[in-house]
Amino acid sequence: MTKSREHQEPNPEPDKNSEMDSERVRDQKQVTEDRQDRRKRGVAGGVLRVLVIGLTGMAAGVLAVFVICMIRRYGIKDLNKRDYLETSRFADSMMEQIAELNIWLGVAQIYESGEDGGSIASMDSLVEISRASDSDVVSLESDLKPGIQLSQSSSLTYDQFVNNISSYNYETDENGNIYLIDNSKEYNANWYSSILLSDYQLRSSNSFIEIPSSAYIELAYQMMEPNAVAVSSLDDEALKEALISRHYHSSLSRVEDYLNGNASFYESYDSVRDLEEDMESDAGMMEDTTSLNAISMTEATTSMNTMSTTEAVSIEVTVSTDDISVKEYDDEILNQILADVRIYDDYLYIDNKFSSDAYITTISGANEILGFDPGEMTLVYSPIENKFYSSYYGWYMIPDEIYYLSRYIASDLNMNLGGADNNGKYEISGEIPGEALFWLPFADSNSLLRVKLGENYTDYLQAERNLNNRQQNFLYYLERSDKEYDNGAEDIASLGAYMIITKLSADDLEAGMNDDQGSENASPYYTYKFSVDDQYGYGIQMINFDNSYLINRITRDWTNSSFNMNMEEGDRLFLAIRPDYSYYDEFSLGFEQFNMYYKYMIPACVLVILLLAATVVLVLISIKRTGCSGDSDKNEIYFLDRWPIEVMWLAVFTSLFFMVVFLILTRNQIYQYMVVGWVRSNLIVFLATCGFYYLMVLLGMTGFLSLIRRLRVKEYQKISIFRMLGGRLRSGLRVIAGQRNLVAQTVELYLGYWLLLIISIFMILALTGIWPFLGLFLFVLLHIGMLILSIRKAKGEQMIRTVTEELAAGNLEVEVPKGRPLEVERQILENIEHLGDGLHTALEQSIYDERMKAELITNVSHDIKTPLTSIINYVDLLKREDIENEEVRHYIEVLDQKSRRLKQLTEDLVEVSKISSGNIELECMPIDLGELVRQSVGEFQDKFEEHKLQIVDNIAEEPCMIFADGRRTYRVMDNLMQNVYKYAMPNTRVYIDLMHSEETVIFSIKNISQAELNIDARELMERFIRGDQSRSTEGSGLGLSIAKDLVHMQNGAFDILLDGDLFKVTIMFPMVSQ
Amino acid sequence: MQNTGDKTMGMKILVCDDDKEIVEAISIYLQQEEYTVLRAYDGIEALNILQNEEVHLLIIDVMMPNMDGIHAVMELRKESNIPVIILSAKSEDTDKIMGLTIGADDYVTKPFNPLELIARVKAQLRRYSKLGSIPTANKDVYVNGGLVLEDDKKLVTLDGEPVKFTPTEYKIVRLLMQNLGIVFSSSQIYEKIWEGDSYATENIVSVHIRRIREKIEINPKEPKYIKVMWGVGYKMDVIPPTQNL
Repeated sequence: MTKSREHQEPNPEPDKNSEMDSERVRDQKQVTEDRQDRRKRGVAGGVLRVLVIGLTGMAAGVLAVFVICMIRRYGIKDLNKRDYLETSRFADSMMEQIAELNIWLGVAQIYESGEDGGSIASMDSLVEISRASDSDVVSLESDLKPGIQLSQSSSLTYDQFVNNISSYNYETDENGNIYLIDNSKEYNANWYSSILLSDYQLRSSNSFIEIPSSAYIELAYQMMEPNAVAVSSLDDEALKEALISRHYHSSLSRVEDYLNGNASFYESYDSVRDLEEDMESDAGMMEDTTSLNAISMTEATTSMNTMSTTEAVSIEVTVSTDDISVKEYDDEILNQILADVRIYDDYLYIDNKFSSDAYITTISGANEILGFDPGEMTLVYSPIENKFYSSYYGWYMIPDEIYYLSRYIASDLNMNLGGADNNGKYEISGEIPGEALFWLPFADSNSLLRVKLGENYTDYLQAERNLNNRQQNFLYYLERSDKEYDNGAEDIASLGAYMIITKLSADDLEAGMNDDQGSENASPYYTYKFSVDDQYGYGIQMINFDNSYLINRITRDWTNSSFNMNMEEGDRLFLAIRPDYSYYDEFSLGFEQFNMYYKYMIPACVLVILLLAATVVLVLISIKRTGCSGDSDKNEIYFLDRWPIEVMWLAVFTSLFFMVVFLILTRNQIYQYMVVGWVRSNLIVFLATCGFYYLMVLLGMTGFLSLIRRLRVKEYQKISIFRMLGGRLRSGLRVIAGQRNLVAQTVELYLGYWLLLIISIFMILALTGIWPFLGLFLFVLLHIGMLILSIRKAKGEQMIRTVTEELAAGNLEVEVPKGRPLEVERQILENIEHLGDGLHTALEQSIYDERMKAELITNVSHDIKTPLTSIINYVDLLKREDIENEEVRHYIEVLDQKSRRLKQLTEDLVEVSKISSGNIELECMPIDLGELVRQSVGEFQDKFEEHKLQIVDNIAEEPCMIFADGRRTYRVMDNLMQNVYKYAMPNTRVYIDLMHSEETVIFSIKNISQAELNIDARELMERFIRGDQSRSTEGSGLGLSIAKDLVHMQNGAFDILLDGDLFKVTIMFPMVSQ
Repeated sequence: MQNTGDKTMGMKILVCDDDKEIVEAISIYLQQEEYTVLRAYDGIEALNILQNEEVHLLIIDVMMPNMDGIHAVMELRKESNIPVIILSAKSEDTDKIMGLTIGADDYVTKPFNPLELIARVKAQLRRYSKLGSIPTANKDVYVNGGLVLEDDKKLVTLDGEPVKFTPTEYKIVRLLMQNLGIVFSSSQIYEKIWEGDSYATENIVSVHIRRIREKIEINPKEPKYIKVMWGVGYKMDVIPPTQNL
């Protein structure tokens, strides 16, 4: 621009000028550069701000979570600020967990004949098998109580269960014993859980259980049947000792302590190692195997040897080798055992084939482990620990009591497990005592099949286990309400603080808040009440592990045992954390970590506040500054702002949504990293979480600031996907609908309707799931759609009707009424509008043309008149001259006639053109046509007499009133009279009639034409046509035409009748009343 | 129509038309009647002559170059009230009304009958010269425009010239002049004049009326005095003495 200017202006001082110019250029450049720089700096600043906001926001959030977590934990730690809410939630959810536990107990009791069913009958027995006499087959009586439900986890229905039981074959021998023969080799793992000892025995030993003829078997199949743990009868000291001393699952050293220097064990241990090598070398195998067996048997007999009465159960833990008795197996069996033994590391594994012994078995449905067959549970014996492990949960230890008791029973019952009978079956000989406890690993390994022998002992074992079999700081204990106990709870309580969860009785619930213990937390909505007793100095310290984590721990423990979780009314569940954190576990760690981080809490709080403040300030600055980087008065728009606005909304909402969701989801991750930092893997989670927050803040801020900028520059708010799509869709549909063939469109619409209708009907007829509703919805939607379509179509048609009616009424300048018709109707309306416009234009054009024509004729006639005036005047002057010559006089006469005629023609021409173009105004009023006819006749009387024409008039006396313009009507009469005067044959009569009916006035005039009427009547009325073409003496030939037009203009009828030489004109006017 | 003799001597008539032949023809007719004729060919020329000469009557065309007749008459009427006859090819009613409104005394359409024009000239001049000498105050004298009926003398004069009527015609004229502006139907006139029932009146009334018109009207087809109300009857319009229509 400046260049061209330089070219155009050849200045006298080019140097100075160009200098100035270049300066200006430089200035402009400077300004532009400045502006660009500022803009760049502004954008960079904005980006930086957003980045910092992300940082501070993220940091504030993370720290806030930390602080919240610390406060939470602090509240729990501090007894006076105990977080009841937290614990109540815990208790609530735990109870849910408990209710979901499906721990199945299969209980079987074998009674002597005549013996009362006893306690088991109080349980909900399912099936009773009884046998009345020898000849009877054992009958099954179902006594399933309606309240009892079969296990949810069991695939077995009640019917199946009965079927399975009844599928046993019973055989009787000569002694009247019944043998249950197990022919069915297919067992469902779950089914085991509901099956009897006998079944188990049968299966495990491949033998029959002998049932005395007088005995009956009662089967109980129950879920969560109340059992009591009673520790009251235990000797306190013994209990404590037992609790303290039993650490079966601990390290080898504890076993060592426990076994207390059992020399043979250690020797055995060594020998096992040797054995390992020996076995590989295949030398001295037999002897070593025997010693191995001996070891296992040693352990088996080491434990309990006393269990005599039900009243006073004492446990004597004897750890000595004195009582070891080695059971001798024959070589065959030993070989069989050895064949199944494998050695892995320091452990000896016994395969499933080693199943001839009652206490070592395989259980199907186990995990895949260490190269053993998957799908089978493998029992592994560790000679070092002298333990059996099951592979079900990893290396799960077979509970000792099972082990011991099974041994005990085996010996006590004096079962001969060694000998097979002739049928290759093992037979249990000897007698079943009245009470015996028999624990065996049960099918799903989480529960035990218990044979009722000694309840108290079982309960004791359970309690002991729950308290001590895990080396952890978390303790719990269930106190049964129906058991008497003196100090069991206190014993537990003495170990640490506890929380008590009590299942409320109905009365308690009614009593509601009156309960003195933790009443503030008892509400009708909780069947469980929990209370925290402060008297022991410590509260429950749930610390900050998830409740679910805690629940898992409890349930894991419980599910590992037969401990009955089903709390009864009044039962109390004691939960405790060891106050001294004497074990190294998550709890102790958490405690340490808390103490470590606790001192940072206050600084963290301050930091959070500062960071939050900084974030808020930065956000405010960003809001103010965004889009104002270059010129402060001009709002800038960045490329992001040209994106659809929905993207920005999406960004904001996505960011908010995920920030909130992730705060909820990951608060524990954050906490665990910051407070329980020992979980190393959480570092990654933590960093990922922080990174995610950061990104979310960036995303949200970007979108938010774009929205802010759009607030300032309104038109950018219109950049919207929906707006665009909506517009395109509408115009597209319009184009499609407008161009399509209407018939095809209708057919398609109809077909589509039927298709959807049929689909919806089919969906309704499906009658399953959500389909009928969807179908109904579709049906209704379809018809609503059709209704709307029909209404819109009808509206369009209504509009068309209105418009066409108006058009038909003569209003050519129709306006389409307002509304939004469908495309087709819209087009029709448009066309109608165009049609109306076209007609209107054409009509106006024709009227205009007529007017122009009339005007032209008038003007031309003016121009003709002036010369005509001269002609007529001079002809007249000539006539006055005294001319002798006859011929000349004749010529002048012709001139005179023709000039007059020309005058007449000119006048008529103007008249005709005016009439035909509608350019005259009528002054209509009621007039008497009779009077008018008389007046007219009077005007012409003399003229007619000239031609010897006799008028015969027959004019009605009474007035014949018509509504007409008198002058124009006279013109009609005048023309008719003129016509008669000119063309009627002289010496004839002219008939003039005027009559009237009720509504019509009829005028007629008849005469005999002088010349032959060689023309059509219709043509006579046309312009410039006369009866005799040859005759051209007078008249313009327009007379009849003018007369006709004038009559028509006054709503009259004009008719000419030619009959030979008779010429008759009839005029009719509507009569008006006077 | 009637030879007025030397009464017209010395009367100056200005004929103004852009068509010289027409002016010439009119001049011939007027000179035959022994009027002095002045000629002009447009409005300005006419006005010049009118300023310089004493003119008794103006015959002027409408459509002329420089200044048309309408404007010329309008100019003239500012100073003079001599009779003006407009001569025009425009035969529309509106044109006639226009011409008469601006001050013309008569309107003759082209092509005209020379004799009619002369008659109108004469009538105008008569009226112009006798203006103010019309007998009044006699209650038996009926005056309407140039028409005077002296009942006691049974005399009717038109612009001073006596008109001869038959007794019936005289009665009709008297009836109409006694009831100026009132419309009589044929039967009413018959009843009043013939004093009989109007039965079979046929066309007697209209024939008489036509004959009267032929006697008093210059152009019977465009009557000045006795108007035919077609389909209604007849009447005599009130014509103010100063205006001749």
